[in-house]
Amino acid sequence: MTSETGLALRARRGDADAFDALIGPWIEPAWRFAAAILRDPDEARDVVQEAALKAFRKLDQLRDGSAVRPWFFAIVSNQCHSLRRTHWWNVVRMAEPDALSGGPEDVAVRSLDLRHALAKLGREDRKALYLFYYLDLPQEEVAQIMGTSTGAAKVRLHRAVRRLRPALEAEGTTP
Amino acid sequence: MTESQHRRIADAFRHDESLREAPAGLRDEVVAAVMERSARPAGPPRYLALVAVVLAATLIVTMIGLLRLRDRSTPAGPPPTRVTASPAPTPPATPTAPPVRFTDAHVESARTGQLRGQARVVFTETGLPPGQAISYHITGAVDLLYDCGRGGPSGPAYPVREPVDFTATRTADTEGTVSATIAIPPPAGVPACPSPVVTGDWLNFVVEDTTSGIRAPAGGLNVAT
Repeated sequence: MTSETGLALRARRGDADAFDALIGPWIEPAWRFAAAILRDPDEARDVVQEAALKAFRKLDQLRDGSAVRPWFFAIVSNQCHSLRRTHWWNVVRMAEPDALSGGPEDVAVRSLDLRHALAKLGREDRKALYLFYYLDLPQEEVAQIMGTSTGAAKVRLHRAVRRLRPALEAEGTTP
Repeated sequence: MTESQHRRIADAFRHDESLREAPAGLRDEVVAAVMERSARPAGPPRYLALVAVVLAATLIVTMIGLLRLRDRSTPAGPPPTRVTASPAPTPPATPTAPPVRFTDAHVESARTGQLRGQARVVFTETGLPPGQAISYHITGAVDLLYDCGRGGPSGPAYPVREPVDFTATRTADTEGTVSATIAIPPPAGVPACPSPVVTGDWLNFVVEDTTSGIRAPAGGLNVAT
């Protein structure tokens, strides 16, 4: 951890290698995270770009012993939230059929599709599920990234899973 | 939540991710962009921009305020003159504008030396707004005798006694004056005989400017042959 603090210090002085060593490994995971939340690769790219700049400006907040990943992912998460909040076409886009959609004749099938159900979830639910079930992060880290208490993160996860349950059970019965 | 459900959720995210490919060179691009943007003195320009925005807003607000003040003071310009005249608001206006009045009003014969029952009202009114159309109401009466025998001993004669009431409109000239000669229309009971000899009176004619309500007596005319 001391090395991370040292990297942060060097990065703040303009050392690109230090910044790359500190944040670089998390750039692509952060993009995947943002893309999963926003469901738009280009927006995810912009979000990661802005998040990295904010991270650079907040390097002094990176304390000894604090992990880079939850810190940086929290910035990315906030950036996703800000982006969604500032786009007036947010609702319209969310109402659009996603990339998984097929023709109208597939409606019955898609209603049982877990991926479609995930896509229909709200961004905060999807964010929690992604961090906990896909990245296998502990609930404490999920909460840290989402900027909530651990209890609130647990509730979020519980509710998100409950919303997915019909798709999960239906998929479970599919041969 | 079973282990298989947990796995299926992860698989669903994994499947979605497999449909998206991370942009090539994203890491280098992001790091380079951050270093490039952070190399600019981030603080001062932001503060300068903020100061510039505040100054511009202040300037705009000040200009708007000044314009409003000027707008207020512009209409307030005339009031000072009114204020100085306010002790007697009406009188100052009266001396500056000439009073509306009739300087002349009378009745005369239509044709000098040949009275065939035709007369006219002549009047002059001053102090009017230049170019304004003025409506006049003229009243009076006639007490005439139409002698169709042209004064001969055997010709029929017809008395005509009637009130006269008619209106006419004239426009004030550039000096604000109306000088009018208005023929009094023949009374309704005038006989149709050609060229009668008319004797009698045009009585109590009054000209009224219905716009200002000013009246002037025009008198009458006696015809005795």
